[in-house]
Amino acid sequence: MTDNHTPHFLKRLKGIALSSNERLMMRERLAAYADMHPTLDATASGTSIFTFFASRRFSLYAGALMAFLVVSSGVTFAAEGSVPGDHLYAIKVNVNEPVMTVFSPTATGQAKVAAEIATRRADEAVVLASRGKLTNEHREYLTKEFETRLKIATRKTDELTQAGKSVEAATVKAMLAANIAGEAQALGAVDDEGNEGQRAFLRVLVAVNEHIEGDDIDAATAVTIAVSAQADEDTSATSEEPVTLMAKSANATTSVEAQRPKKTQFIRLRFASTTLPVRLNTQLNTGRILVPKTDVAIPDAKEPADTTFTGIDH
Amino acid sequence: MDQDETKEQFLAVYDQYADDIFRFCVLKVSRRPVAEDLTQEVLMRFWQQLRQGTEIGNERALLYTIARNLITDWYRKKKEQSLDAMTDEGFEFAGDDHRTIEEQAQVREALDVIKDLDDTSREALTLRFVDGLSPKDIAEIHGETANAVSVRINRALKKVQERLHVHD
Repeated sequence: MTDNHTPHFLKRLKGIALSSNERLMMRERLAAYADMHPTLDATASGTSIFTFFASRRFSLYAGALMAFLVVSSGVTFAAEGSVPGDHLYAIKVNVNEPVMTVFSPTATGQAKVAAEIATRRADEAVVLASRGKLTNEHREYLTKEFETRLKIATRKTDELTQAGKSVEAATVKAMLAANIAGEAQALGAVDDEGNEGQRAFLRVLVAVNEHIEGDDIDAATAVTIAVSAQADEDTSATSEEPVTLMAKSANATTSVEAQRPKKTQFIRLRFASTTLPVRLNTQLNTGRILVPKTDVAIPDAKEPADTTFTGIDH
Repeated sequence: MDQDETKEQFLAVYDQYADDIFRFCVLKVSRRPVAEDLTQEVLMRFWQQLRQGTEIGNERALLYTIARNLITDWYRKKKEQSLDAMTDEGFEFAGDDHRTIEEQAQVREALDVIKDLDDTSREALTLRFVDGLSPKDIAEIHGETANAVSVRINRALKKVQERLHVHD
């Protein structure tokens, strides 16, 4: 073989390429990404993401995006559990989250999504901390992103209030407060072994939660309960029976029956028309609440399943 | 340029260079799914440059530069898997396009020849002879002089020729 053929031989490496399907799917994702992040000229002239929602292009893309999500859900779904440092994390924040925004075109939906994305940053800190990987780099990134997303969520709920949708705004704020309180509790439950970064992030969450709580929200409508599902290792038959949680506020009393959980899950308490998430955390050995302004019933795991509990433990 | 024109330019760049960037990433990270994710991230960052109105003199060089930076970040976090492992574990070069067995064998043979080159030489060779970049373009990506790139390419080419038993 002469040396003229060596470059020709190397050209065989052109066989390493995206498949037709991969090319098409990536193209669709990138086209959607470009639409969700318009040029700065377009943004300045008012052709914002919200103008896009009203346009014909959006209706065309909504169908394409929906089809794309169904087809490519493997990658985007797998990205949902990723945290900073994972190679799919870029998909989560640059593709999945913009798609969440696109598919929530109403003002209330936008506020909820903004609150959800802020919560996701806090949750990622909890996951990293539980793995012992909440480095200073990750903490700084997540703190900055969390505070940025929180500002966006706050602005959107303020816009809801200004638009006369104060009930919706209060609901979103209460949900955000409850979620952040839950994340703070989960982060606090991680054995940090002197990790100052973890404590620093926890202080951010607690401070934010207190700020939201003090922001003209009826605290009685925002409650996060963390209770122990099982204090004993003896898993008797009663541990499978449902428990009753009761919550009292100044103007409402509500209760809910739920299966005694074996692992962390959310149980919702409804105050009038507001539904709030309540997390049960099996890592705790005592019931604990994070919003002490509300009288909340805490179940003692050793009590019989049909007991109605009262009292506060915080 | 308005949003539609910029997006059209962006997708044209994608159509032209997506495979080159993907291949570049594969030869660096040796994992197809990771290479696909990196390729997408490269294009997204390229879009961010376009949307901000950044003056881009050489689109292709910018794409490769972004890819190199992302791969450097990836290396910091992940352990490198060798090209040996790629060929041994039956790495899929062509996704689901059902290339012929002969075509797949040819790719494997080419990979086997270049795997012993140092990373920089391998990169220079593939950019030059697979992706068709000029030494000047490669120099821009590497932050070197065109002369240094040419010397490296010639040396790497000689090593490949030796492996292929080329006679002067």
